[in-house]
Amino acid sequence: MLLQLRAILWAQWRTLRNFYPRGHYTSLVFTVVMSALWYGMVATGATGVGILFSSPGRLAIVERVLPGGLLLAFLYWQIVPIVLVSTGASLDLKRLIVYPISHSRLFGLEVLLRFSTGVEMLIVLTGATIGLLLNPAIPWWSCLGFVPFIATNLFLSVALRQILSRWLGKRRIRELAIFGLVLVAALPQLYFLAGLPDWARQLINRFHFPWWPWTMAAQVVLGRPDLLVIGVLAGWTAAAFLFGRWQFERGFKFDAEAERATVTKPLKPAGLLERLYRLPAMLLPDPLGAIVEKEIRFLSRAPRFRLVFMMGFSFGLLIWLPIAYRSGSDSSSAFASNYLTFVTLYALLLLGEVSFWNTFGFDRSASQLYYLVPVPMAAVLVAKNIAAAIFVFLEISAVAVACTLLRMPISASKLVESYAVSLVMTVFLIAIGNLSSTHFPRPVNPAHSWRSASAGRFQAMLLMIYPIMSIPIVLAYLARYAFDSQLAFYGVLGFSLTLGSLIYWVAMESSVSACVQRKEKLLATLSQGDGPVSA
Amino acid sequence: MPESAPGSVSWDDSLSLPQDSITPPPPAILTRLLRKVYGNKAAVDGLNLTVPSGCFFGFLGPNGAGKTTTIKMLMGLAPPTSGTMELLGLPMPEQAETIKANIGLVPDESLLFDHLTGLEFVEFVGRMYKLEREVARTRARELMTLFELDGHPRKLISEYSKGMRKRVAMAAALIHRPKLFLLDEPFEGVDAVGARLMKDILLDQVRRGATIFLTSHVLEVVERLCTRVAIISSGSLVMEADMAELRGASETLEDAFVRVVGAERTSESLDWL
Repeated sequence: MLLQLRAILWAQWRTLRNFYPRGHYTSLVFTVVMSALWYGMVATGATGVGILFSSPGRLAIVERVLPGGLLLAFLYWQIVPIVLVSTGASLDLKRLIVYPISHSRLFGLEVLLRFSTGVEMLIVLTGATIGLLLNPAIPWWSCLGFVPFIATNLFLSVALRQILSRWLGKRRIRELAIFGLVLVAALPQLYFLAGLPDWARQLINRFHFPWWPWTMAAQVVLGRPDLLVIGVLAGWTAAAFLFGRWQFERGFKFDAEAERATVTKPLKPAGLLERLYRLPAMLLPDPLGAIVEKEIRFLSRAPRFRLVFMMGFSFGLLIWLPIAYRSGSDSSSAFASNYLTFVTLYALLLLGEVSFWNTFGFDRSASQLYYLVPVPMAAVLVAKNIAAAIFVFLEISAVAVACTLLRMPISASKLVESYAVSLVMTVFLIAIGNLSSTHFPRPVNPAHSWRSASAGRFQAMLLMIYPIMSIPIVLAYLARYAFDSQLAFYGVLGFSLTLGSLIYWVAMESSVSACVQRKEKLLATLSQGDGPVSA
Repeated sequence: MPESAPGSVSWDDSLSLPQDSITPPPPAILTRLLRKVYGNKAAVDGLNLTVPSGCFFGFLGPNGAGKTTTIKMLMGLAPPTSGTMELLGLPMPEQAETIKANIGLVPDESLLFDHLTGLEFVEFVGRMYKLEREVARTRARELMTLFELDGHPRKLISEYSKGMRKRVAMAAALIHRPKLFLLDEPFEGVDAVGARLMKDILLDQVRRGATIFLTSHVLEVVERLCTRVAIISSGSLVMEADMAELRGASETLEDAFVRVVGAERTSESLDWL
């Protein structure tokens, strides 16, 4: 067993070692710096927990906070990775299933890999353990109570990941599942802004139960275990193990290809959707029309794109809604009066991941084709940009419709303003997007509804790019505020549009040149795949 | 297989299956009413296949006939909708681990690890078949030399050409001396020298008693190598015969293939072509 497990871990190590030294130093440095910052914060928190737990005089506080703290650890371990749309490192079973390795061994390895979804909690629990060991008022063995608690979390985490993977492997359900999960991510903000509704409070009170694993683990950790407590905790761990193992086994039997297979239907005359697909080709000359049509067909069929597009007019609306309602009492507040523009700009930011920053990364085989057919690369980029602009227009319209359905006050002038602001922003986004697509390409599986689409290095640069690109918009609003004039607002926007068009033109030249000069590198990067353990 | 170089490890430690020495060996592959449905289409539809042990078996069919789906089911990559399978006399998937330990697979490209070098990948596969690390490493080096892939030790599989990818997959399939080879288009993209080398190695493997189950679109290769062929079309077996029978009937494999698949289309109907 150890031979195979070591081989898998070795292969993963070699995969990482081979990946970074080949021109990925910048992203490595960025990852190391960001990780050091984040885990430094967690380690500081863990030190604080350790100090609290080591003091005999603060035992009363520890008793009060420990069950709640363990509940938070449990929620973090199970829910936060999902909310952050990340399932950590996991085995790529498809690649390993052909080898003579038993399911139970793979399960063992998968459980070990689940540590990667809750490293922060492990650091905090380590701090707590050291604190407990230093506390003379608590027996040394009490920290062993963390062991079954951690095991329970790992087993449940495996089960949850398997369930999620199966949902994501099913046609139709996939996007809905991710969509639902993403909406769940908005709940904490709604809670902090609007508070918990009464029905939710009643529901929580109704489910009061003293035998939860975190309560039982707290009993053991505080040095007050009895047979019943130990039995219940062991029962939770065993149940979690069985559930995790069952779900893991179901994962083996799940045939994603069969789930995704379409039911063959007889050919029907072209419907409305088909006619919409063909519309650009009727208005634009080929090859531009053909590429725009292909892009629209491809993007509208890519699960990742569909999800982000849906999020633009739902998730975006939802997370800004509480702020709008709160400031709605003061109708003159900047946020309430410009709510539609805020939401459309937010939708644009979301759409950037799938429409602007990595346009070649989604449809990788098509990228090869563009180098083979007698079409200028400028035409390819322009066609991709037109397709992106069409989706931006549709997104803004969807946001406006959603706002209308929610009875948000939207005037015609505000609607025009949103379209105008989005147009200016889109020109800048597309210009920079062409550069990033050709200089920082990243292979992306359009069937995966999660994970970042743009290259790591470029994501770091986005932290600077977004504020800079917002300057023309901010200037337009400042002009309106200063001169109290719509003319000033639209004048600045018009000037920004001209400036954006100039930047677009210059960026296009540079992007086309990069397409030619970096052809081999671009195609090689886009043809890369994964290792045995995917993150 | 060429003689081992000085200092190389022994290759005579192949995994053994429990077998009576008097009774004839069971068929290497036996499927009964094997069926795989995707959506409302049966990719494989009631396949009854018997591949005798020690046979070089060609599994042919037009594109989308169900060849790759069959191999996927045999390897446990795709669970069948219905039907039974036995490999090396053992039921699949009940005895999957024992069966897989004795199978060498040249799959489609999705099962290679792009961010490993060829040598690392072959060593990894050896270790997955429970070879000691040193043994796996030595054999991997020997195989890389044999397949002429040792010229670029730092080259990642993602940087390999199609032919090189097939060669590295073949090297990985050989590392544990399997009893049964499942080869999905192994010669695709491989140059003439590489293909000749692969053919010689495969024929050597058959001579030592291994069974080879090969899918290929190159009918000449199948005609020259295989002792028995089966043709699948639209998920169903439409022909199974010994190559000797075909040769006796003075019919080429291509003629037989076109006849049973019914694909005698010409470009004459396209005036512009």
